[in-house]
Amino acid sequence: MGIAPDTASETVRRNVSLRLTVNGEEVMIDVDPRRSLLDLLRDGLGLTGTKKGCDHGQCGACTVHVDGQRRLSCLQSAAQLNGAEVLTIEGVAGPDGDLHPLQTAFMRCDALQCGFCTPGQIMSALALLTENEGADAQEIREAMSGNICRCGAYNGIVAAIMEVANGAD
Amino acid sequence: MNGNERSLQRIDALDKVTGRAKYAADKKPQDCLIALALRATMAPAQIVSMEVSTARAIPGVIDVFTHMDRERLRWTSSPEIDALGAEHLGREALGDPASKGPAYRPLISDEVLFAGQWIALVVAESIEIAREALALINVELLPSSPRPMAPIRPGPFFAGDMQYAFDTASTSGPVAVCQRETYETPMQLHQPMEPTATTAIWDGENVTLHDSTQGVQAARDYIAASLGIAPDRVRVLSPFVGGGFGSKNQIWPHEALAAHLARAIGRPVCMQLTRADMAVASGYRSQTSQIVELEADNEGRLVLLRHDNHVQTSLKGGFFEPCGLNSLLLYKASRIEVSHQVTRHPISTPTPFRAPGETPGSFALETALDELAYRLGQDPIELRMQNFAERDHYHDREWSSNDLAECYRLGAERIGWHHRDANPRSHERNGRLVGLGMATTAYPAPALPATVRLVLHVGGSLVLETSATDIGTGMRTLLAQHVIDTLAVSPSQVEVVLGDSRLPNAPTAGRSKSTASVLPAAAQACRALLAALDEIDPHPGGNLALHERLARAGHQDLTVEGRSSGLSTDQELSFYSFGAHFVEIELDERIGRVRVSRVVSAMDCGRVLNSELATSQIRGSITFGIGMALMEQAVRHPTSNRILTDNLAEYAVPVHADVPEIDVLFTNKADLAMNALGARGLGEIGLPGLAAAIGNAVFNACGRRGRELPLSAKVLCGQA
Repeated sequence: MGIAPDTASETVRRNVSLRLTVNGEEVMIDVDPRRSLLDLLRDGLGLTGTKKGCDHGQCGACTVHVDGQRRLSCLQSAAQLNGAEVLTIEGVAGPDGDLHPLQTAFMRCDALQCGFCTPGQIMSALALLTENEGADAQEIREAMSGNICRCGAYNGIVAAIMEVANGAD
Repeated sequence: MNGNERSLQRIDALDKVTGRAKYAADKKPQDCLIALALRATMAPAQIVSMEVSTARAIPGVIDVFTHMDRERLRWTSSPEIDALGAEHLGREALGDPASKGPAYRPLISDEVLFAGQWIALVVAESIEIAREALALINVELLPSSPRPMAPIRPGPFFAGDMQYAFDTASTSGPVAVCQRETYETPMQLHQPMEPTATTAIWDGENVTLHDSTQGVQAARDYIAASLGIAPDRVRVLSPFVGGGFGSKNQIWPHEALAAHLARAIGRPVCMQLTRADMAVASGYRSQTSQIVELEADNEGRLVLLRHDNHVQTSLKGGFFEPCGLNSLLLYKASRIEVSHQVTRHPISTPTPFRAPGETPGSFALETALDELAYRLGQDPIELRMQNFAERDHYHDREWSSNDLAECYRLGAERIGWHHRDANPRSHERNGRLVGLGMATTAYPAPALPATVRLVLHVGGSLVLETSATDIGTGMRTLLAQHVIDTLAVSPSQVEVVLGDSRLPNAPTAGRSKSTASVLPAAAQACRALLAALDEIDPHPGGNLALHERLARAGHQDLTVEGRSSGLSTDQELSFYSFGAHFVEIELDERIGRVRVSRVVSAMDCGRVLNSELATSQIRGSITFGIGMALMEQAVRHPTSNRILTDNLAEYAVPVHADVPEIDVLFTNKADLAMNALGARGLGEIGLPGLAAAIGNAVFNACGRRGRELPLSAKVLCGQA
């Protein structure tokens, strides 16, 4: 189908060596140059808290932070991340297991149902809290609209973010 | 919240906010292989040739399977397997020749029944290698011309007649107004956030599947039949399911296919549907075309309610939308006529999707009633109360309880309905037209037999086990709450284990039946535990905790089971939930942009066991209704029949910005004929009627009537 298989395969089969920081820990790993950060996290590093919802950057379930900014990990090539700092849902709680106030707010506000989009919602919301400190409900809805929740927990998610933004916790 | 119910916080929330909750595709063992499918690009067609040797030669590709390899997979088709799977649902109601032959299974023959059908499977060491191999498979498809098939008039389905005409005891005067309109609803995709996945791991002669299913025991039975082994050698685990909405409530071929692949190769295999697969391989809601004819006397009493439905299904499947179900019983017209006609097309098989039948059906009926009210110059609530069915005239039974009138009253009061001017274009805000609309919802309240096991340990822990699943509904929490409240134990003592086919039987998490099926069994288990404790420790006293009494009796643990019998279909009463939706919209008709600005929904679901979980459930349904009214529409290519919108960019679903604060009210009146807890299920009741309420609000805003969903620019755009 249009690809000259031998040369293509030879080229892609050369793995790339990476050194990056994931949730504060240094990681050294060889990756397939075609590998997304999402597949690296899930299948390479066993960090399955980051979810694959669409694999096309359309749903937000795989949102993580790369160098402090929110990023759709399914659209991020892993091979480009040499030296990067990645934060996933597994790294949001403190080292002693203390939950982040946003996590407890999500629990308090029933900001989830099936829970599959929740890690992505939390990673997006965490970034939003630093991007736009004084956001009101409507601004939060706009800024969070890249994170789909099919169960429809939107009211609770906005309430949880508002609580943390207003220092309720 | 109303009533005296308490809300235990969702007990699995901690696992979900930390990423610790493990879904089916999170359970891949170290040596797990990835299976990906090649999809047919058009249908109907025949596979003329397939060339897989190049793909097979890629390092890291373990194997490639096509329909030529079904013997290696020991992959067959039989009536016994068909009867347990999603493809079969509805075939008995259809009863046509196609329903009597083999149902669809992938990789069985060279026949392509729908675009997106799996025609080859690659099993590889990684997803990147699997994708590379897929691209190297050469396929030649020859379009085939479908044999024309006559429309089918199905028999009874979902406990209701699909063709039925009768006179009720209700009286009305001479016909003053009549109307007949056609209403259309689009093909809709469930698209739960978790794409369906199955990870199959063999251990000798036994297989364990981490599966995203709404029913672990139903999955077990289908997979065992497919593998040709005893059901007790198959274990299906679904402790966490990332949403289902019906797409995971029936059992689909891939769930067995993963086990066949793993058996043939001798290594664990994970098969996760892609987002595009989700549009065809686990069902959808088919499009509908419905004609509603209403005749009323000058007081708004219905003389005639006729509801004719034209719906679709696949070439060999069975499911179709039974849109006319509520029309049989929700309003007391003097004469009621309901019909369904089903046509077969080269498309994949549809499946129940949150309130199947009632959801599209209520759009037609509740829009038609709004039109009738406007013609009569009658308030839409008054029209509905004028035709309020005090009893279920279709089944000739009384309602177990029906608080619909109170729903109308509560909702109207909360949204400020009396401020509404029935004349369109009467309300404006910030340069936008504002409209208020309402509609009724109703949905059956079934219950099936269930068993719950309770184990008290001398260390103090209480473990509750059942095979029910929690797909986001809060089942785990409801069960914990019941045990905590009934046995006066602390939340930290209680553990709830769900979603394991080896645990006691429970129905699938669908059709709003779980709460009413499983909770009575839990209640029975609690009573059984206390009785068993009294037996081994016959002289209570000393104010001891349960586990201390167990210790006093010299036991390490105590196991009991509680059972519920469910409701048979030949009950003396009709069990339904009811509700009323009230919606305010803002419309900028210069650009045709509509925003739902307020939703108030008042629900009669019997007694509410946990108001926070119940509110979340209803809000979820309402969000689906917003999507249905304003954006959700799957589109097929006119000649290839491919779904062009099989992704989350082109199939728009509601996002944060689309959903306002949703106000949910419950009448919270116990339905004690239903069960001792007085609770009915509420997974679906929030969806029917919502799209009609939005359409009715749009009419109130601009005076243009939308009879096709999603509402089009033709309705939404106008002169500023």
